[in-house]
Amino acid sequence: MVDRYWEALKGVKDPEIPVLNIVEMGMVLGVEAEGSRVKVRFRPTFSGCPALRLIREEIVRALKAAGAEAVEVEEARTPWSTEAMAGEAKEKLAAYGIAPPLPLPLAHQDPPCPRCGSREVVLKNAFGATLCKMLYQCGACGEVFEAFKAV
Amino acid sequence: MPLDPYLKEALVAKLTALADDEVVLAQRLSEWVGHAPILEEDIAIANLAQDELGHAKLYLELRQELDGADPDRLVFLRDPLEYQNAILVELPKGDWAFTLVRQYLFDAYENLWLKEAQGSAYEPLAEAASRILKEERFHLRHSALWVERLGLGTEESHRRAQEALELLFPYAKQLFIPLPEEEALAEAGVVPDLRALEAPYLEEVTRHLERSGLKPPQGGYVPKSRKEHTEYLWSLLAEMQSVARWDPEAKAW
Repeated sequence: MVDRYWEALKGVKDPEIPVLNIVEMGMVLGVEAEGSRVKVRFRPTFSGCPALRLIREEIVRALKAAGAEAVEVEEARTPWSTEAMAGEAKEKLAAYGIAPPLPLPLAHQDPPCPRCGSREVVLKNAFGATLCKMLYQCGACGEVFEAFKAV
Repeated sequence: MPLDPYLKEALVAKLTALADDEVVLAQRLSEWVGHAPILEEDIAIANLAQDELGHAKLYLELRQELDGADPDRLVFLRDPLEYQNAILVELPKGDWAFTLVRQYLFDAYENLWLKEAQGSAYEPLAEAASRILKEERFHLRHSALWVERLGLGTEESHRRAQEALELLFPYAKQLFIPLPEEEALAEAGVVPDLRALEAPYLEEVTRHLERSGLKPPQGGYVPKSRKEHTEYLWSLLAEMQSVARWDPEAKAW
């Protein structure tokens, strides 16, 4: 039964990065089921993320659609890290045009351009359209791209 | 860790003061949205404001676990005299130099405090601190770079940054004055000892300011208590709370 709920949670997308679901983002810490009562522990990526409320609602909706009658969503304070992102999620990000987060030990480096792979990139803004991203421009192909902050 | 009742009360006060600094600073930062000198900075400052609000929420949720107080009511329905923020964050936003010098002075303090608070004996606070620190590092890098850019930029940017520093520096020292009940918390290892952080702070910011061609002033008035406020807090809260106060019982906006 729990497997089914995990599957259902894979249908909940991060509204700011619609190619990723909250499971592959590493946001779901645990799912417990007792009969048709389900409890989900999840952690936000950035603490001021305005999408949190929506994500909670989506979690409840997805689990009810999967057969749960009562859903409890607990927000954990455990810090989230980009290290918790599945490899597959990072590939999806790159394909979507967002430079995936570098591994933490390399976090001080600039990411390669997701379009042409060049390392000749310039940081335009350490803050982007959402809390989790920065803005870069590629010196080789000219592409302006967003990069996921490594945290 | 179960807290002794007297520590619990002291921690409620401390969490409130921490949250109030964040809320008031976020409000001042958000006043720049749509008005920042360049588009990138408009976006950056909105990000900073949003982060600070997220941090306030974390602190107030920790408080809620202790005394059940509703975070929204605390932020939107408390009167100015009950706010426990430092004066540094309530001063009007001023010009760009004033805003960024203030942000730098605050970010440097916050980074130091959070690094220590990660080791809090009160596990929920330790967790919150390590979460917040991940985000604050970006703030400090940003504001420190701006201080350098303004200090070493043009004659005018230097003058404005130095003027801002003259006014703000004594207020930054207030951040190191503990609350009346805070000593017991520090002794129990729940929060860092603020007084021990002041010397490393002054050393760090002085080094960076001087490298940026700026000179921290000597002396000046340092507020003694977080009960002290300027008239500016009244107008700030009046604006920030106006919508919530129209309909305090509203269930959704």
